[in-house]
Order: sequence, then C-alpha cells, then structure tokens
Amino acid sequence: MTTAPEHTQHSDAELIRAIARGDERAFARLYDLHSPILLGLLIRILRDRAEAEDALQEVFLQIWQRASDFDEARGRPFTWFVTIARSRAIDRLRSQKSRDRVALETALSDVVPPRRDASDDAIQSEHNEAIHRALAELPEEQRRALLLAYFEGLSQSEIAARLNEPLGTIKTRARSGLSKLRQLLQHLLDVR
Amino acid sequence: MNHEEYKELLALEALGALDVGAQETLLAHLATCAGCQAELSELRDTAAMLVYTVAPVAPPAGLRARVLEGIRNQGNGLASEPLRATVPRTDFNEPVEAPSNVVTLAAKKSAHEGLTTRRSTFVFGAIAAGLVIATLVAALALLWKRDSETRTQLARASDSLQASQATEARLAESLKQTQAELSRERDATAADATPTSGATPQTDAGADTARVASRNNELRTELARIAGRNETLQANINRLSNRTDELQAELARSSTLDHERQAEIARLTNLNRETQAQLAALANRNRELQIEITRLASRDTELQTQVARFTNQTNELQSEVARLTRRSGDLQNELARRREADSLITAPGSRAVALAGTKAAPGATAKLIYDRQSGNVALFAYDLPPAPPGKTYQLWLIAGGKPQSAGVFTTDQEGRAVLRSQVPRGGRNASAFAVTLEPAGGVSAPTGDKYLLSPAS
Repeated sequence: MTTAPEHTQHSDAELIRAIARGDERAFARLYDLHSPILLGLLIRILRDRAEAEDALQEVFLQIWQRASDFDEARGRPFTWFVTIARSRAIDRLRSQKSRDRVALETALSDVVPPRRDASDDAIQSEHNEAIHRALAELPEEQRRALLLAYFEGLSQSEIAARLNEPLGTIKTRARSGLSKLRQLLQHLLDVR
Repeated sequence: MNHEEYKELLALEALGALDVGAQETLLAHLATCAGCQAELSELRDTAAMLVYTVAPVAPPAGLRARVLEGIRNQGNGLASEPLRATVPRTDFNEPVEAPSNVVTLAAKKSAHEGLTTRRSTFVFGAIAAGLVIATLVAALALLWKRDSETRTQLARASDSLQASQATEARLAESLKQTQAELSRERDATAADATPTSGATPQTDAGADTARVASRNNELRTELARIAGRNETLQANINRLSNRTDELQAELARSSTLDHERQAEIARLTNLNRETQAQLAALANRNRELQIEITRLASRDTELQTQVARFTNQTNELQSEVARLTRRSGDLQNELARRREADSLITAPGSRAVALAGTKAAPGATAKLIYDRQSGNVALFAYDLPPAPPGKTYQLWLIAGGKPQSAGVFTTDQEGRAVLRSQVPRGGRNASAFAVTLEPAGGVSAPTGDKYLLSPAS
C-alpha cells in the first residue's frame, strides 16, 4: 500500500521501551520521526511559533523522563506522546495571563499554508485524508464540539458558554461525535 | 451516579474537556472499573487521531540539538532554565505552517464522455459538484488573500508599535538624564545656599540661583511635556494591543471556517467520485445495449430475407391452387356430362339410332340416342368434315313430317362431334333424324345440305 518504509505502531512501542532503558539513539530516532507532527500540533494550539518550539523541548524532555510509564496494553504509542504534547500546550495556554506582545510577529506565521516537506510520509497523508473524510461525515455541531475541546482546550462548560448551548447538549455531541469518529476510523485504529 | 452516567463522561474525558468536578468523580470510578478504563483508552486513541488534521512542521535544526542536549543535562525532574529561543527578524518572513491543511483536490473529470441525454441528470450532478468545488476553491483563495491583508496590517501595527516603543525608550532616557541634571543642580544649589563668606560670592550665587531656577522651570516644563507624550504613547500601545487581539480572534475564526470548508470539499470530492463511477457504469451499459441493438438489427435483416422468400413461395403456391381449381371445375363439368350420357343410355324408353353419311360426307357416321319421354337426345358423330367458316352443323328431329331443331354443334380436329340436347314436348314424337350444314348460329328450318340421315323406316 505504501512505498515509504512503514513505521508501525509496534516499532514506536519498541522505541519507547528503549528510551525507558536510557537509549539516547532511540530517543533521537523518535524525535526525528514524530517531532514534525507534534510541533504542528503545538503551533496549532498555541498559535505562537516560538512558544511552540519551547513547548516541544519540554514535551520531549517529558517523553524522556516518563518513558517507563508507558504501558502498551493501555493505549497506542501515538496517543501517548500526542497526549503529553497536548497537555503541555493546554497548560501553557491556560497559565498565560496576557499574550506576549512580542509574539505578534511570530503569530503571523500561523496564517500561511503548510510548507510541503520533501519527505512526506505516506502513512501521514493517508491518515490525513482519512481523518478529513471522517470529520466531513459528522454533523457540523458535533465536529465543532470536538475541535473546540481538543484544539482550543475548552472545557465542557466553556464550550457550552461559547456556543450558548446547555451542558447536556455538549456532552451528547462530544459523545456522539467521538463515537462516530471511532466507527469511521476503526480500520486505522484496529492495527495494534 | 449510575454506571451509564459514568460512561457518558468518557468522551469528554478523552477529549480533555471534562470539568474538574466531574473529572474527579470519573477518576474515582475508573479506579475500580476495567470496562470503562478500556473504553476510555479506545476513545483517547480516537481523539488522538484528530492530530492528523494538522500538517507536520519541520522543526529548525538548532532545536534538535537543544533537545538532545536537554536530556543529557536533565537533573532530577523538570526543565529548569528558560528555553526561549531567540527569534531573528528574518523568521517573520519565513513561511510556517498554518493550523489547517490545504486538501489537494482531485482533478475534475470532464462530464461529457459521449453519453446520450438520458444520463444528463448524472452529468448535471457531476458538473454541479465540480462547480461547487470550484466555488469553494475560489472562497479559499479569497480567505487566503484576506489573511494576507490581515497579516500586512498586523505587520504595520507591529512596526508602529516598535517605533513608539523606541521613542518611548529615548524619551525615558532623556527624562533620566534630565532628572539626573536636575538633582545635580539641586545639590549644587543646596551647596551654594550654605552661608559662608562675603558679598561677591553672594552676587554670583544669586545669579547662579536664578539661572538654576529658570533651568528648573524649563526642565519641569520639559518633564511635563514628556509625561504627556508618554501617556499618549501608552494609549497608542493599548489601542494597538486591542487591535491585535481582535485580529487574532479573526484569524482563529477564519481557521475554523477553513476547517469546515475543507470538510465540505472532501465531501463533494467523494460525491464527485461516486457520480463519476455511476457515469462509467452507465457508459458500460450503453455500450452493451448498442452491441445488442446491432445484433438484433442483423437478425432483423435475416428474418426479412426469409419473409420475402416465403412470400414468393406463397404466391407460387397460390397460382398453382388457382390452376388446379380451374382444372377441378373442368373435370366436374366433364363428369356431369358423362353422368347425363349415362342416364340417357340407361333410360327405359331410350333408343339408339345410327345415322349414315350422305354424298356430301360419305365417310361420316353418327350414333344418336333419343329418349321420347324426356326429350333428351345425344349425338356422337365421327369423320365429319370440318364446317367451313361461317357455317355450323345442326341436328333435326322430324316429327310428323315437321323438322324440329335439336341444337347446333361443331367438330374437333378428328372430325368428331358430341351434342347433348333436349327437345320440347311438342317435338318428341320424332321418327327421323338429320344433320344439315347451316349458317353459323343455326336456323329455324333446314336450308342447307344434309350430311347425316337416319335410315328410312
């Protein structure tokens, strides 16, 4: 299906186990493989390039320190380090008292469309297309609830306030939307 | 809270959106419920897939080195030193990724592939989907342009802000200097004011004091002006900050809209693909039907050839039937005549008379059969010379010396003749018979020569 060397979940789990043993080369390999998607995620949430790069360092430091906590039976490796990255970003977002004005000029870079990497991972673009297609199948309000929760870090009550909807409605939309998404992406999630 | 209610919280927890209170309750439950733990794990995996909507961004090369250095230097816990990377001004112009991807559109296929108007509905659907995609692409382009303009505005605001800050810094510096001068002057004035000696220094001190006082006033005025300017600049800075906030909110909104439009594009691309698949299927069916039509047309031609052939045969057979019908009619007439002859011969009162030829036809003979009761008479003549043109033979019955016509007849090529006739009641008592040659059509009384006579009795 893909022509690029497949990087499977299984090899990610092996890398994390090696990192837990203190293997620096495994750590460097994990960085090379996944720092682009994590940096993309951090920029998306923080909307500030410089801050995202800072956060990326913190994220990988946490990966290094907590690698031994990872339990393959309880989830996929991708979920594990993406969750670390997202938590870091949301924490930074919430603890900021006021936005850094100097960050203005770097925040501008948010608007530009993505530069295509010369070595586009075939799996990356396959997943990219799959998630876009799946999201397109959700009703608009479910999709909006998921994106606001995940990328803006809004809580249930904050989303309800933002959209002027009752709490219960938000809970239902998040549940239905995520459940439907799981159904649509089953073929990608089942590869354990 | 019952178990179902706990399950309803799992999705929000997987998205990291659970309010604190509810989260504590859920975590307490999870400690004891493996089923919910497993479900939560799956939901988290699903939520993590949302990350694939973001396009990857290659980090700068220096960052890799810092990260690797960072783990080597790690002490006993979290990162300590501030890790802010200096951002050189050139980064401002370097394109970096945006939160949303640009989905590559599949090339639009032409909707016209030589199909008939019966499939125009699908063609129309494909064209409509193509048009909507084109419209959305145009909308995206417009949005991108607006973002560029917003970015330019932000750049200008930023420049202005920096200029203001530079001015502010300069003025603050100037203020500091002025204040330093002021305090020096004050000290100088204080020193001069201590009473020491005579008049001459007094006069100089007075002039000095006046100079310092006026300088003081100048400086105070300057200070007031600078303070005012400072306030104005501060107000500008605040205004620009607010504007920046607004623009960033605008950017966030545009980004969400961008997401939605891309989802729409993806959906329409799918629709387009499905429609094209349908069009292809219909094109195939069309070809199959055309092959069928060709086959049936050639079969039609074959059948028509056969029909023509059968029609010819039928015509021929019908001619044959007509001919045979006529023949049948002829034979039936013949049969009727023979039956008559038969009945004449078998009639009880019938007599046979032999007629002999006269000098006019010496070789001629005839046999006559006559039935007095019915008046039926039959004559069979042999070796009669053929009647000349305009003439015909006529048979006479002579009864009581009066001849009565029994009909006219002609001979065939062999000189034979047959006559069947019936005389009326009045002439049935015939005692003699004769055949004469008369003008064609016969006469009422004999005029011509006799050719056959019954013997005198």
